[in-house]
Amino acid sequence: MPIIETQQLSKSFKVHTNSPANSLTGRIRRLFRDARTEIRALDSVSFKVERGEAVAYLGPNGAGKSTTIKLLCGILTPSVGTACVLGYTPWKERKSLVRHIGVVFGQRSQLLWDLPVKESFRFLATIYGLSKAEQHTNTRFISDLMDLDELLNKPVRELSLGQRVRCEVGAALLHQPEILLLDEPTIGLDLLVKDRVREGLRYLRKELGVTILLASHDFGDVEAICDRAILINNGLLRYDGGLEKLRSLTGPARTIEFTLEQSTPNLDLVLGGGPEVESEVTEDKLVIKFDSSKVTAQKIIAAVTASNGVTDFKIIEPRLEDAVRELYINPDLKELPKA
Amino acid sequence: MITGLLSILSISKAYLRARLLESTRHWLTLISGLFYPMVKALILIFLLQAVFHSAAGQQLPVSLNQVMQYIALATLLNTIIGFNNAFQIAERVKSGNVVFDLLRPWPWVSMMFGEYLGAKLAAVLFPIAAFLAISVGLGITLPLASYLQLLAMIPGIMLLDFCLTFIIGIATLWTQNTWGLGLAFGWIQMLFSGAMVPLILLPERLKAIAYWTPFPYLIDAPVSVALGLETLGRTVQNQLLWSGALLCLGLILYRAITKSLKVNGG
Repeated sequence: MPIIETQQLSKSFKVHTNSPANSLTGRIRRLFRDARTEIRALDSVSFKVERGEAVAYLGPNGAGKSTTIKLLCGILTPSVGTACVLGYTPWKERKSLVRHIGVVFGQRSQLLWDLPVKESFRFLATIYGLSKAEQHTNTRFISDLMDLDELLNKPVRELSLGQRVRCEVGAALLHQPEILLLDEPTIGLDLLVKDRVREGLRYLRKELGVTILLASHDFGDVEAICDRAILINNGLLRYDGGLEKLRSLTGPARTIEFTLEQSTPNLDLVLGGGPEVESEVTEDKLVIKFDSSKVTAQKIIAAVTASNGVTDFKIIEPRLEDAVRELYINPDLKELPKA
Repeated sequence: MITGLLSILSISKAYLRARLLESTRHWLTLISGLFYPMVKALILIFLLQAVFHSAAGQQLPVSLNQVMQYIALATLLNTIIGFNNAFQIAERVKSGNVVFDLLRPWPWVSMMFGEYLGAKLAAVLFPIAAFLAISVGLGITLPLASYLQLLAMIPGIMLLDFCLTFIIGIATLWTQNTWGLGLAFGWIQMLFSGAMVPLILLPERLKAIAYWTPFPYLIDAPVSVALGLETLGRTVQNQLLWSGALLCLGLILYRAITKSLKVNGG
C-alpha cells in the first residue's frame, strides 16, 4: 500500500496581472480595476510512493515542486484532486499527519535565531509533545547523524549556512517522522556539508526505512539519495520512473574519449561510413559519439586501438542532468514514456 | 476544552522560556526592553501634570493623583498589549514562514495564541519591576484589592488583545500593505484604549464612540476598575463578549485565508 498517493492533484492561484501602466492615469485606473488571472501551479498530478522509497521530485523553477510538498503536508488545499499521506488527507487531517512527517525548506529556518540550537530542539520537542527521555534520545541520535555535537550550544545566528542546514535537518527529524519531505535541502552548501547531509539521509532511509521525497535542482543529491524520479514542468507530470531510464531518455548516445599518440587519427575503420557514429578531433583527443543500440563500445574501442596509438580512453555515460535538461526544453514532453 | 487549554499552556510555556532566554541573553537587551515603558510613563506623567497645572482653577472630572495612578497602571497594561502584534502575524504569513506554524500538530490559532501568551508573559515580567519602581518613586500606590482586581482582568485583556491583533493581522493580507492598516489600528487602539490619555478626559462624544468599540476594555475599563470608577463584573463581561464575537470573526477570516493561502517559492 502506497505511503503517499495523489490523484489528479491540482492547485490554482489567482494572481494580480501586472498590465503595463506607465502613465499616472493608467496606474490610477488600475487601482480600481483589480485584474486577476488564474495560474495553474499543479495540473492533475498523480503518483504513488511506497514506504521506504527515496523519490526525487524534479522540475524547473516554478514547476510546482514546492506547491506539491505544501499540499502533501496540508499547508495548502488543492483546487481539485485528492492526496493520501499515511492514510490521512493532508489538508483535512493536518494536525494528525504532521506528527509523522518531517519537512525541510532549504530557504527557510524553523530554528530560534538568537538561542542555542539545543533550545530550538527543546522548544520543538515541547511543541510535538515529546517526553524528556524521547527528547534526549532523539537529540543524541540527530547529533550523531548530522555531526551536531559542537553546534548544539551555539546560537543559531552564529552558525554558517552549512551548519545551520544540518541543524534544520536535525530539527525536522526530532519527532522521528516516517516521511521526510525535503525542499532543496542542500541549496548553497559546500561539497563536504552536502556529503554529510546525503550520508545522513541515506542512513535514515536504509536503516530506519524513512520515506524520502526530495525536491532539488542538485543532481548530486538526487543520484546519492534517490533511485526514482518524478518530473513535473508547468504543473504537469512529465516523467515518473527510475533514474536509469530517465538518463536514457535523451537517446542511446554514448561517448568515448580517446587520448592519442598522434594528432591525425585514422578514422576510416572507426566510422565505417555509418550514421550511428560521429567523431570530433581536438589536438590529441578523439571524441566518438555513438548509438549504443547499434554499435557496441567494445567494437569502437577495438577499432580505434587497432588503427591508432591510444594512450588512454574513457567512456562517458549520459548525465542525468542532460536528460532532465532535455525534458525541460523538449516541447514534445507529453510523448515521452511514463514508467 | 481543558485538554485544549492545557495544550495552549504548554505551547505558551515553551515560548515563555524561549522569549525569556532571548530577552536575558545580554544585560543591554534587558535594559532596552525596560527603557521604553519607563520613558513613556514618565513623559505621559509630566505631560499630564503640565496639563493639570495649566488648567488650574477649572473643574476636571478626575484629580491629578488619580491621573498619575491611571498612567502608571495604563503603562503597565500597555506593555502587555504592545503595539505591533498585528505586524508580526501579518509578516509571518506574508514572508511564508507561516509554513512552520502549519507544520505543528496544533490548530494555527492555538499556536498563535500560545505564542502570544508566552511572548507577552515574558515581555511583562521585567516591566512589572519597572512599574513598581516608578510607582514607589512617584508615591503612586494603590490598595492590594485594586491590584488583585487588575490581575483578575488580565486574562480578559490578553484574550481580547489577541483576538483584535489576530483579525488585523489576517486582514492586512488582503490589503497587501501591512503598515497602513497596522499603524492605523495601532493609533486607534492607543487613543480608544486609554493607553495615552484617560478616556474620562476625552470629549463626551469621543468617549461614547470609544465605548462602542472593544478597545476601552483593554486598558481604560480595567484601570477604572482598579481605581474604583468602574465595576469588575461589567468589565469582565464586556471583555468576554467582545472576545467571543471577535474570535468568531477571526475564525471565519482564518478559514477564508487558509483556502486562499499562497506560499510561493521554496
